[in-house]
Amino acid sequence: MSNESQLQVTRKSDGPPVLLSSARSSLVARGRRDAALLAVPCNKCGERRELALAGCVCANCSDALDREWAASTATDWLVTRPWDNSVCFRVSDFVLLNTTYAQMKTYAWASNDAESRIRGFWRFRQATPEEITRLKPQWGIWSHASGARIVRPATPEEVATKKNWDWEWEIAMETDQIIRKTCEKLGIQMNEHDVPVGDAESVEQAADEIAERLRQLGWLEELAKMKREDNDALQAMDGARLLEMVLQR
Amino acid sequence: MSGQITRRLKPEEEEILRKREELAAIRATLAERELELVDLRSQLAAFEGRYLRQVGTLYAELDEWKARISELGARLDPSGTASARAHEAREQARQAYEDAHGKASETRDFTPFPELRSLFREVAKRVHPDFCRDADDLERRTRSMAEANRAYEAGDAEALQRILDEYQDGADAVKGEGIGAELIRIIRQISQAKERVAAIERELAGLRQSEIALLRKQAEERGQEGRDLLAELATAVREQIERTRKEYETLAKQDKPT
Repeated sequence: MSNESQLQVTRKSDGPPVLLSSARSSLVARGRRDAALLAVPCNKCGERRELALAGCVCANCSDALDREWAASTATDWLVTRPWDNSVCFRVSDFVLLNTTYAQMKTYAWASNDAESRIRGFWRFRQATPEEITRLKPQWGIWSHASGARIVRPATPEEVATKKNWDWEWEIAMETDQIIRKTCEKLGIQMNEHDVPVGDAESVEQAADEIAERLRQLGWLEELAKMKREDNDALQAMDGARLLEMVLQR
Repeated sequence: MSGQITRRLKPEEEEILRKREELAAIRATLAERELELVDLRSQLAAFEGRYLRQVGTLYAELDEWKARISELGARLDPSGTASARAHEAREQARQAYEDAHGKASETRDFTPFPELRSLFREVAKRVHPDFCRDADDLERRTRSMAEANRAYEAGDAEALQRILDEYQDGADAVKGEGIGAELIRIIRQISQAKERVAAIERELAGLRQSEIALLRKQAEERGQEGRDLLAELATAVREQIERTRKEYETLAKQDKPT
């Protein structure tokens, strides 16, 4: 054997390249998946457990709510959650109409979405001492993003008030549409204070046409009542000043 | 003027000196990489052992309850599908038990002391199979290197020293085959060592991307937040076991003849 041939040797193996058997690796992969789930705490209790509901609530909290309300046949629910003001502890109320327990649980109770994502907003108000006690310890912070919620079936009075509230907003927004379209047709614009800008004759004509339309719809009295009560929905209208002129007729 | 006579080196002798220096440098690099590799393997094996003891055994228990539920389900609904599902669940439970309680779960934490590391480095420099002279030598070095790896992982400094002593007795000294042959041998050793370094780099990269390494990374990140990932996982799996056990008990009541 020559020196040259003696030198042409190679290693038989580079050592064990595989650390884990594929089966053991799958056991580890399970841990990795579960570890990823534990990265986000439950939005109710703040504990890092497997999130069993809507990707944000642990099974313990979900089960606790089930024990409290799953047997209820209610179809209207009141959901209360903190509103972002830790100084005076305000809350926002939502009334969910024609909603099953399961729907309420998934879309309103479990969710930690922003305000606009939960349907059925009703009102802001000051939290009661009991609500402060119940809502704050869930996360230790007072924020709509905390996921803290109190739910219960809505009372018939609350349902009636919410329906009336929805109705008032609906006619206020519809009226605003009528005002906007009428103004567009007659070439009237609104200035930055929502005051109609145009020749007096056109403004008068617009007020007449709007009044006539509202009379046809049977909303004039309702709107006048809302005006007397300083209703929030009317204050939110772009055409509030023109409506004032209409109602003064 | 000094009376010393200095012999001028021949060009091939100068070249061999340069190559020896290069070989020494690559031996040091290779030893360092081998140490890094054996360290990472051992650390991952130790972490895996801890994971299997702390969490894997709980997954095995969870799978056992799931298998029992599937088997009950198959009794309540003796269709082929339910039976196949039960068989599958039983197989998974058996596999999870074997994996969680197997030899890998016995691996304990690995904390090599500095002297052990330095001894391993020396052994790797001297014994490494890539510095073999011939096929027999390769065989012997491969065996010795494997022994060295085991000794390091076991923290056995005496065994490492014994291996080193064997190779310090001139066993790897170059035989008088002439300068040309030695030069060729060194060049080949350098080349093989470089290939081995590259192979180790690839293996290290592979290990760092393995499931267990990624899980360990997650655990380290949680540790920096003052959290214990394995303890959190164990709690979560225990809760799943509790729920699954209750589900089994409810089903078992339905299964009882009235």
